[in-house]
Amino acid sequence: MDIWLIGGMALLTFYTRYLPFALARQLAFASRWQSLSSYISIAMLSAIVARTTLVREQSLQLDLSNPLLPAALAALVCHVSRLSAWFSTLLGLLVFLLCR
Amino acid sequence: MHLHPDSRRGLIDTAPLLLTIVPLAASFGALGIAQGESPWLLILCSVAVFAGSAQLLALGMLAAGAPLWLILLATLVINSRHLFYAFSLTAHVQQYPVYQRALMAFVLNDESYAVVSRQPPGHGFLNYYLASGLMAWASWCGGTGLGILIALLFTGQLPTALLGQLDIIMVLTFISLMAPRLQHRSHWLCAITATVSISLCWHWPLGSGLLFSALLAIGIALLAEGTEPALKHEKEVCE
Repeated sequence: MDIWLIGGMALLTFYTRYLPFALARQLAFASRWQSLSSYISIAMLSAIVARTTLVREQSLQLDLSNPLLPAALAALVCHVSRLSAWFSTLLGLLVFLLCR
Repeated sequence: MHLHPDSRRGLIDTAPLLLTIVPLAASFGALGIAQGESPWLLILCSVAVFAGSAQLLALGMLAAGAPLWLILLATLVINSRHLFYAFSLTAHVQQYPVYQRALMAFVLNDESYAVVSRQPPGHGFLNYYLASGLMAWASWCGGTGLGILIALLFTGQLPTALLGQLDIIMVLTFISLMAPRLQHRSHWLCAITATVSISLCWHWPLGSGLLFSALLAIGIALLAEGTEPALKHEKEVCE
């Protein structure tokens, strides 16, 4: 690792994040764009949660030997049932510890 | 020390996610030392780059003898998801001056995005966002230092098993942040499509499966939105 690599990575990372912010005032905010924004967060977070939950030790684990799966499902069901966020998270943790 | 209430909220909401940031950063530091990298360059990398996946990937590619241009290309591809994050926040940041937007861009990361993207735009957003982002950045830098210290003191790496166990915190926190947003059929369709798609293409190189899954899910959700009467009516009322 050298200073050029770090500098290059820093610039690329920063500009990837900054470009839309720099253009923020030029972008038109139609209602179509607003709904697109809500889908971006749902799609990205779902994909990250699913990948972290289902891919363990470089393989897809869709059975109960993967304790993250029942824990995530339990937490999701609680949230959908409009139970409190704390209860959902605690239940998820409990299921994880029981299945581990 | 007096903290603005919105800053305090940002810190509190982001705090649980530090349990996933710090061990990952410590792994980066410890792995770097194990590979013979300079501790100062590792710290500098975390301070200046602040991109967990890209930094860990760079270490792996350096170990495999990859050339500089390929590592930079990988950085660009793996960080492209941040482009989406930033696009979805443009309505929130448009009123701020350039230097504040630049600072907000610098501290944008997965964990903070999960927290700040559910905040409405307007008064208080800047304080909330910066508190969340700067805490994540400071934790990332501190975690890297901790990993370096442990590796130098104990000449070993952080147990990766520990990292695996802490994934649960991230999963449960992200679910709690995402679930309240699933209010319409198209939102559910978006989440399910992303989940099914990433299950099929999780092994694609450089995290491209993640990006593909998100794009596919967004596309399908937009298509479904047109056929959803409740959402259609809601939008007409807004317009």
